[in-house]
Amino acid sequence: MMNSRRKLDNASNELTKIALPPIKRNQLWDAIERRIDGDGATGIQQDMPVSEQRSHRSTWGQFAAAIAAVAVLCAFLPTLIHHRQLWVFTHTPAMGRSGPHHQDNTSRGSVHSITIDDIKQYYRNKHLKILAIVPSPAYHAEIVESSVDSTSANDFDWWDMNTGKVELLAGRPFYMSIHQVISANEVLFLATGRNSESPFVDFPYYIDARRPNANSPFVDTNLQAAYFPIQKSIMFGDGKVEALSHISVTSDGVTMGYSPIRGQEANFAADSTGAPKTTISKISGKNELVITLNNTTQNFSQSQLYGMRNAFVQSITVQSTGSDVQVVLHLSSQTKFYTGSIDRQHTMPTTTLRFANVVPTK
Amino acid sequence: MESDAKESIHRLYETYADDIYRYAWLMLQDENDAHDVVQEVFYRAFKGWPTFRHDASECTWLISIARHYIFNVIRKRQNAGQLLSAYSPPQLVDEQPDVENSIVIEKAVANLKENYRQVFVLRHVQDLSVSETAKILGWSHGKVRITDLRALSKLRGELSLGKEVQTYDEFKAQT
Repeated sequence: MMNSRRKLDNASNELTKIALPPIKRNQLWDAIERRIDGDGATGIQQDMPVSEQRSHRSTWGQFAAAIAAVAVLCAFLPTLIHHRQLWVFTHTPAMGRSGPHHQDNTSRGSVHSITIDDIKQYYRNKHLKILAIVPSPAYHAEIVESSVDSTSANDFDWWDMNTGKVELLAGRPFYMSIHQVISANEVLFLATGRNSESPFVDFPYYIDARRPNANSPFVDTNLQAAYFPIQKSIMFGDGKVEALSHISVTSDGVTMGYSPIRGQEANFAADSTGAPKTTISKISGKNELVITLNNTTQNFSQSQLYGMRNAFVQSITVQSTGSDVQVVLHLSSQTKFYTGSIDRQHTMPTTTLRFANVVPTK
Repeated sequence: MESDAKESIHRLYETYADDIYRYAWLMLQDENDAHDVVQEVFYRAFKGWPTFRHDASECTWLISIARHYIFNVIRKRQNAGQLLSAYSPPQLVDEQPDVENSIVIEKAVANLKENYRQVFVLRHVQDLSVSETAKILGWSHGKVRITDLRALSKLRGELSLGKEVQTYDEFKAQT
């Protein structure tokens, strides 16, 4: 026993010898110093580590990455997958539907209409699980939701049933569902706010997948604010423990800021803190919206709230209930819809709710 | 004010850069990722310096930041289906390191599940106390002790150094 313990101690000692090579040590400090100096000079982060460049601090960052990925995918796949491009059933015998939008793509090879069974076979061959096949008969298309595994968000593909051509609409890392098929070139998704690459949970939002024409991939993906009726309860946030330290109003909204509680400063410094777990619900029979912040303390003076109002919020009260904080917004009669967003770009995260009497158009 | 913060972070870097690198390397088994962690931790420490209240030791604070960042890297790897296969031995400070022995040990540590690896590295490589480890991981002292016991037993089994399971009395005597 003593012998094995000594060997284990020796093993631990061996590991303590791991250290940065002197040259690398100096290089890393130079890079850190450049980032620090860059912050001071321009506010722009420089010399980001490679992995951090890949990381997604906000939904909008993820969105940009998603656009880039889709664009690159769509730009290069046609040249990579031989001249047949994404025509996956060029040798499938003609069968099934052939609607009025049928196009003769003879210049691009022999193209035939396909059936649902063909689609199923396609996913079986790729070891992907089909979760739903949503018909879009007006455009002779099917939208297929598929899953690689249970830990990843699902993918959505647009199938042209006349030609057998499949295009990626949108997918990982966003968890979402089809909200509306606007046209053969535009599909709107409702994202839950969860993301397979980030622990943060955002307020739900729309993802608009578009393409310039029916022969193009869906190269344009936009995130849009989703407005909900104030009667609809929404949950978001990450379940962190933090303090509500700031409330302010804008012309159409309310912003809540959070700060670390004692002992949790490292989480903030590590950018691992978003909004606390938040539930928004309207009190039945009253024109009041209750924002419940779980595991949150108050760290601001109630006197700050005096006189806070705008066209949609008449007054604000804040109360602690057990380990939670409730922010009650006393709404005006014209407040009908709301949306939300979480800003984690700065040191202290904030949640902003915005209100409207009609849903704003694009 | 900012130059004071930078000076403080430089002092921390001189003192703890190797500790952060060692922790990152043992958790991630990738030299480039470990370098990223070092850079990111001290940059974030600079950003968070005004809010650091010195309730915890500087080392504990820095390792907490590292832990959060490493956790995100591991999560992304899992999402990307990346395996810990690209092994390249880290730099050792010995003039003539026992490379073969080091590789065996590091592979054994890499094979521990994440919780065990965290505790083993913090307790026995970084030489932190149960209390400091509990603070970094946000666990109770009891959970740290029990996980440590299991990690050591597992590691002993991996290294084929002795019996797989240790009694709690033996464990207590050891700690």
